Amino acid sequence: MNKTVTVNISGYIFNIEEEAYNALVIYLGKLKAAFHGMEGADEIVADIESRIAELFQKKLNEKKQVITSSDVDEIVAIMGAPEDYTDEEPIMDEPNSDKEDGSRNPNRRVFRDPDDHVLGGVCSGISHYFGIDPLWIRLAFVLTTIVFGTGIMAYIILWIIIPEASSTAEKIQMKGQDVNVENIRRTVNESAEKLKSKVSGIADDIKSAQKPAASSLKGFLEQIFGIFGDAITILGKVLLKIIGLVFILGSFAMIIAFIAGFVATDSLIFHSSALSWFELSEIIFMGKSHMTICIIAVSILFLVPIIGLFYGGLRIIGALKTSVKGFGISLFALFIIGLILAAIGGVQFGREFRYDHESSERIVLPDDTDSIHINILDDNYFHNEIRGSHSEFFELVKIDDDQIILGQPIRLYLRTAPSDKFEVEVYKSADGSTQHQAIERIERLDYQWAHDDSTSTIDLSPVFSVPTSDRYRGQEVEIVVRIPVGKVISFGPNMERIYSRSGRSNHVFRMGAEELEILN
Amino acid sequence: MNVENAKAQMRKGVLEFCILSILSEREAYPSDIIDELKEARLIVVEGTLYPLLTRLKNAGLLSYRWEESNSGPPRKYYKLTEIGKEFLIELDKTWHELQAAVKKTTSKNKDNE
Repeated sequence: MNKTVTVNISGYIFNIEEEAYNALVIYLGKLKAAFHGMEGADEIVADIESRIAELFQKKLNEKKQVITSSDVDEIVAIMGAPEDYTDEEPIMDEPNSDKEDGSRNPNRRVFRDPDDHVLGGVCSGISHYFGIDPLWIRLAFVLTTIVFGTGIMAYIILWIIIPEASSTAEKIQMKGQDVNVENIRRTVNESAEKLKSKVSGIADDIKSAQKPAASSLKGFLEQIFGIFGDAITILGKVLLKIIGLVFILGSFAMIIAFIAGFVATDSLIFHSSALSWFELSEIIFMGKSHMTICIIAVSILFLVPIIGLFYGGLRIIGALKTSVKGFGISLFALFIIGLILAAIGGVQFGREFRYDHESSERIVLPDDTDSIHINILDDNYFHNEIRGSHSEFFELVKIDDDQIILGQPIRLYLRTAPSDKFEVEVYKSADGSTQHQAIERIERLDYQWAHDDSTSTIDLSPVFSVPTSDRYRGQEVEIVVRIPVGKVISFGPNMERIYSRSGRSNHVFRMGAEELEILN
Repeated sequence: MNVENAKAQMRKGVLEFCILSILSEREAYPSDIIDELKEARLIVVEGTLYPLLTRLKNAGLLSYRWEESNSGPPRKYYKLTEIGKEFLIELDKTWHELQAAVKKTTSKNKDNE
């Protein structure tokens, strides 16, 4: 049993099933939209309706009294889809590719999807663009937010720069369907309908104003709310412009900060040391390609947000009327590439520090030694009076042939000895991607020191060296001198090269119960 | 550029000419015209015809009169106006010129192959 409705087509009465009626209404609606604005549109539609009435009439006989869905389908097939009627060029080669089959449509654009969103519809918009499930895009954003902390930033930028699909045409474009004449006309008609209902709404307001107090009060309140709403809208627009301006200024500030930071680092590293950029990169990076990857990654991760911010600001204040096609998505892709490069470079670099190892060498001085002298050797690389603990790392790095000469990290510690004998321990450590590599680095680390039993003197170099091919991978040297309580230690000049406390050079101390006591 | 599209464009160009030709011999209502055009495979869907007829009528090339029908709503019977007849003569001339030109061009190029 089906419900039927009665319709009047071109002056003829038909009984038509409800479902068939709905299909017919949709079809005629499409027709009207397709011919809208065309000369003689009403006449064309009337002619078509009249023809439909004629065809319906032929369908009916004494046994068949009702128009069914299949009748309507048949008539639609005979009359054709609205796109076929209009004699304009169809925009696309294949109209009505409704399904998202992943095939690339050149007219496809990125929009935010207002109908399927968690936050701003960015992810579902992107997924429409690539024809994949939005879940994956969302997952990618969540992961990059958790792992790198950058996903949320990228999301906000994309939220700003990708326009929302507000019109039907944009929604169609977003899904990669074709924007044909029919669709565009329908969009225009929809907005016209909205305007009409608005106008009639105002007319109703005027009418209701003439009605009794209760309804006029209602109208009045509605008006008040309307004004209130307008005020909020205007305020919102002003706020938006301010935000846009802040974005633009922010991007400038970031550029300046970026350059300033670069100059500062540059002056710090290169002006205070004899290292060239090339030498520095030899010490740090694992080769030319690794260096290139890292530099590109850092540049992208700095510049993309700045560009995005600047572009977003321009869009917000309205300096750019239309969004630059594909700009947002390219920026996003670039950012992802930056992240991937950073991950590759970072992982490669980080692996070099995975294992650390330490080796030690220990000597115990003879029983009868009552005092020792610690002497810092002169070196030809750095100024002898430099205080190691007060220097930047790069101030005390030099490359000499195939050796890296390091003035730090090298440290001297003075402790209380557990027995009544002097002890000296030298610890060397380094990092490597394997335990083996770390140990090999230690073996190649060259630290000059000596002790002379006859004079009870310990000579310590203020620098150590490693082969350039080893690079700087956490190599360091620690010297621990243990002094028995009551025994005496004297220092030569330039102790500050490796000892953190000042005021030790050229003085004599005795180890007390707690700490060193000055004698001379 | 796809071939179906190109074909459709070619057909569209001659459609008006054909409609005028059909109407030059007799008065007809859309269904008759449709049948002839369908037979000649010039149109696929009927809807194509209505905007064309309206445009030709508005351009003063066609006129119509209403006639009652026993199988449905009243029908519009179209016929050529005086302007329409002149227009058709012009189109006819152009068609023959065009036909000759196309034939000449395509056959010449075929010879070269």
